[in-house]
Amino acid sequence: MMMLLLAAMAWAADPTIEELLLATDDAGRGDQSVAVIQMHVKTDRYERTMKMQAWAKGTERTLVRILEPAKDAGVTTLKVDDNLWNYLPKVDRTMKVPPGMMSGSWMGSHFSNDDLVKESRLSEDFTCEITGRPDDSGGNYVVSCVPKPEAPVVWGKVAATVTPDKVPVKVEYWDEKGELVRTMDYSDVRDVGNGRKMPFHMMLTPHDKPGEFTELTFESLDLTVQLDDGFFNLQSLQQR
Amino acid sequence: MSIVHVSDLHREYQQGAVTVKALRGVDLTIEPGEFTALMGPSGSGKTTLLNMIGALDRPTSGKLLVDGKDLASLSSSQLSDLRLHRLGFIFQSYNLIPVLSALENAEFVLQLQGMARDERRKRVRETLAQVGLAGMEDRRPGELSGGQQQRVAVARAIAGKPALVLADEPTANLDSATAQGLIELMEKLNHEHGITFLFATHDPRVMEAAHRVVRMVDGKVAEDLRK
Amino acid sequence: MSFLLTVAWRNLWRHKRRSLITATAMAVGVALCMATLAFNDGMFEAIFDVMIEQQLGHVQVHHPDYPKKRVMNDTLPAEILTRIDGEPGTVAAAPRLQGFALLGSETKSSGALLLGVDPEREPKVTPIGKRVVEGTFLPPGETGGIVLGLRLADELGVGLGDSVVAVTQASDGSLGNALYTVTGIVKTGSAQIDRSGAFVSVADLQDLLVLPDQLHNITILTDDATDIAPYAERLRADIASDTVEVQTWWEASPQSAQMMSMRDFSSVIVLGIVFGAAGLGILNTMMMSVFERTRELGVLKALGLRPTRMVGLILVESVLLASLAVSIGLALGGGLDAFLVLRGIDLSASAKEGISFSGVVLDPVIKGVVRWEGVAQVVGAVFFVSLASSLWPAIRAARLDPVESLRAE
Repeated sequence: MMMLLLAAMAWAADPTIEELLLATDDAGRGDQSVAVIQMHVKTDRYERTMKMQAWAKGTERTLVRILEPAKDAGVTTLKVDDNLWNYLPKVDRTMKVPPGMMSGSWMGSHFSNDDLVKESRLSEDFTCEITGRPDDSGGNYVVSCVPKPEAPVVWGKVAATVTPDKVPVKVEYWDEKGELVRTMDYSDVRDVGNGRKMPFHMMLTPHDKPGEFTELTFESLDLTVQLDDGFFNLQSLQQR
Repeated sequence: MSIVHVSDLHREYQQGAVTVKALRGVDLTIEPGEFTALMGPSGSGKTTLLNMIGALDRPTSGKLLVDGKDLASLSSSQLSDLRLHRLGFIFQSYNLIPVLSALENAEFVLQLQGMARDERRKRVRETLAQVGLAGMEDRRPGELSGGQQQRVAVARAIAGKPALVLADEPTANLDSATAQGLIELMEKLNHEHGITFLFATHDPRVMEAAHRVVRMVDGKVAEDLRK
Repeated sequence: MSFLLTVAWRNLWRHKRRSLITATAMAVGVALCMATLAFNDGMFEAIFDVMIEQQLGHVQVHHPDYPKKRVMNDTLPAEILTRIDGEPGTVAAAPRLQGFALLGSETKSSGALLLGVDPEREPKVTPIGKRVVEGTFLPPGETGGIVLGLRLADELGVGLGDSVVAVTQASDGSLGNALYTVTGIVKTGSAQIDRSGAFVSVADLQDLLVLPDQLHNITILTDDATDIAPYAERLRADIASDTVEVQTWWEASPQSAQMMSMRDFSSVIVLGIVFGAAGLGILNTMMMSVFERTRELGVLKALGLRPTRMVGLILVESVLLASLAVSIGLALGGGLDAFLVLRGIDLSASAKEGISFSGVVLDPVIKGVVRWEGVAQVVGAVFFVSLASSLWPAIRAARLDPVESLRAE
């Protein structure tokens, strides 16, 4: 009897595909947020750690300001829709990243400028289906997504692994030839209030570059902040 | 040793479909110092025989020895050398090289023989003087009369001190007085220097001067008269 | 032999007009060939200048992986430059560092290839200083200047004295950025550099890319452009290692080498066409000469001229004719060459922007360059063609039947 009841409850709590995708898309961001993040990049050629503050409103608006190291402090990136600007305090200039440089690395990390701009929401640009359930996938849901025909994405397939309580575990990216090219692993899940749980550690591993990774560690994450659309403009980009 | 020894010499050639038998078994021997006239009507084969003896043409059959050499056994280069070193030629129409002076025309045979320059110049001047052309050394053939040209040809023929001089109608293109002078010159060369001459000729004055007259008829020796 | 020479020489003058016409025709061919070669060589020298000397240098030193992979971190230590300076045969050596960057003016931005050069050394290796159309090249000993390609400056909408921001990803992953002042604008003739090249001092670029005391390339001019290989060999023995590669320009750029080899190819075509025609002229003249003189040659043969000497006679005659043609031709061609060398041909009427040749833009005035090998080839070709085309008439002469030819009129 007891067993039956538990099973019924679990069934009742079974998340929808939308809920699972939202959990993945919103990881580290929420609807509106301000966070302090440490980014650790390791490549063949260099290893660097930066601290930055990031403001986000939806996926359309993002402002990231470097806090450390001192050499780069104040360098700020503004993203509004598909546009990206960098503010360079040393020369006191703002430069829009031109289309030709969108595939370049952002701040030396394994994220490209495009990754910031085309942070394509799985739920919007992809056709998804649940391909794994807790019973057969190690206790988690797996949502596999292929891009919609006209979607401007470079991936051939993306698969997100999400816990039943809607916390992302990892997202894997395949290219159009079906080769696994990178994996984002989520960990250090914390309670962020209102019963929501979010990972505070993300690790991006590019599989075509062995030994390299970009690691994001959230020092703080405030999801209660209220941000004006006007906050995300070129003026605030240049504020110190 | 005879200079020329010919026996049973035949020469045939094709003229279209017809085989012309120019020589039909000629026997002839010429000794050093002879002054011989070959005579006979046109087509009797005297020029053909002269060409054979001059190593300009090869016989169809028969034996042909010139200067002791069997011509049948010689290559064309060896025949060239034989003509160069052992034979002298005088043609009816002189056949001097128009671009060369009298001196050079007589000289080049010596040059081809490989004689040193000073020696051959001296020899050629002497020879030209012998044939009565002293002072005309630098004239080109075009600047000489027919008789003078033929004298250059004689000088060219004898300058290399050949064993035998072959002359084909040497007087035919000359006027009578000039012809007479030329014949006397050759007689003198024969007499004083022992040069052997063999003429093919119609000229009665040549026959008169000759010591031996060989008459040919139909490709054969019909008569061989020694005076 | 002197007899053959005498007869041959006099025979030439026997038909003065015919010999002169043939010789003159050949001489015109020789002169045109010389002029074409001089123009051709001038053009290739201009290409060599732009492509090899201005871009590749004679010898290049770089990290072995750098040319292929262009990875920013495949660098050379700057101290290697001192060792190259000490190498006998080094005329000048210019250190270079390069990296792609986004250049921005107040209003516009454009991707650019930043070329870090030594303001003092670079002009000794490449004539970059002479390509400055506005302002000056980077002043030696100063930093903070930038010299832009003409079209790049247009695209950015900047002029002398304006500021330009450079942003790039530095070797340490940081966002390298710097502000430079435009000191000059260049028009190099290389489409790539004019459109997207920008010169800054190597020290500035080392800062921007965070590559202290490192270089991507050292470009060397040697004292003998025609004999580079031994120098490269010596330098290789001295400084080459796992991380230092020494390459000659043709090793560094096989496609340039291939292009330069077209020079010889086009020379061969020019020679071929002209001398094909000259050969027919000689063949005709010598054939006529042999037929006309059948009787005369028959006499020579009758008098004992060996067949081989007969061949010699005809060949000597054609060589003399060729010598005559060459003498006239050298005089004519020398005149044409002198004009080409001193004045050149101005093609600007038909090509206003200069002549573009495989992506290299040349000066519109092409000045001739006379190579002695080229002249020698032409002269050699005349004699070769003369001999070759008179061989047949010569053999015919050698085979003349004296009896037959004496009968000829």
